[in-house]
Amino acid sequence: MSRRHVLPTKRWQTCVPTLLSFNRPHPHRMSHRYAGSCLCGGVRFTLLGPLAPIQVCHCSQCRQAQGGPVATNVPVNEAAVTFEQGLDLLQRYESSPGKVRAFCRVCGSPVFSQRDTVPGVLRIRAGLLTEPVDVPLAFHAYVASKAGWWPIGDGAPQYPEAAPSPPGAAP
Amino acid sequence: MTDASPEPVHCHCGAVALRLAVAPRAPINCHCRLCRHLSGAAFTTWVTAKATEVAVDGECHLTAYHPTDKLERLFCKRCGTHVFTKDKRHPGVLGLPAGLLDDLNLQPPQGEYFVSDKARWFTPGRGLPCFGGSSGFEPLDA
Repeated sequence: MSRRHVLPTKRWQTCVPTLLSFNRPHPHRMSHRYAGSCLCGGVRFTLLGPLAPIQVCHCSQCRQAQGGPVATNVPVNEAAVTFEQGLDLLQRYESSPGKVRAFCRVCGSPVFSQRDTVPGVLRIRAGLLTEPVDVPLAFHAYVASKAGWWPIGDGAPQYPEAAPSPPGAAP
Repeated sequence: MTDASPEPVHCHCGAVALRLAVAPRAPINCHCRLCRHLSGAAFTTWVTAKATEVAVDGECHLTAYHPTDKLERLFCKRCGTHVFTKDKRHPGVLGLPAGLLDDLNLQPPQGEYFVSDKARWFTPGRGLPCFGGSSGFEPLDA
């Protein structure tokens, strides 16, 4: 008797979608290109997926630099970033020793930050990506210094200081 | 409402300073595309103030950009910090990015706006009233 006849039909049917789901890559892990641009459109770039989960930073520097309660960043290897135009529009500002924030000199959009201690990785500002971007949140970092006036609304892990793994590390 | 800012607030590099004559009002969060691209984050948090309530030092360090024919966004040309935005539809009013105020005790935002346009990967703040639809201001179920 073949194995197919040993398995009860109902159980076999139940297994099929599970196996298919298992073999199918998670949507945010699929290879995909994500477009992004600054507010004026002068800086345009493409990220080659899969993207790492998006990191939310609550530190006071990010509040000041982004103007909101949080910065939302996605770490990307430099090799996966292509600037189609506007590299010459990027103004770099060293916000703390060894950390550079790059913004568009025409419209002021923050584009990415980069740390000397994490070479080869750009932390792209996720708000610049063309939606839809189906990527989960990784964590909330520096929650100990978060703005008291904004309540976190999701269940991503929260860390009082930096996340346990290097926050700028590539996936 | 918190006390008026006794000390000026600065852009990140300190070239531009704002002094508020009154306490900041409660902010709102806006999730529209323009606000996402403006801040690079999932949304922008706005506090409004009358222009007469805000003194600006270091205006020579500001660069103006017009995202639309009605909006003027001013940011520090050295560090890129968004300092304020003017809207021709609301003359005499400035929109200040709340993160710049560095006031941890601002009132909670009054609501989340343009939620129908929000980034899929972000959940609005817990318990805040949500607005969206085609206008961005229609009440939505939380």
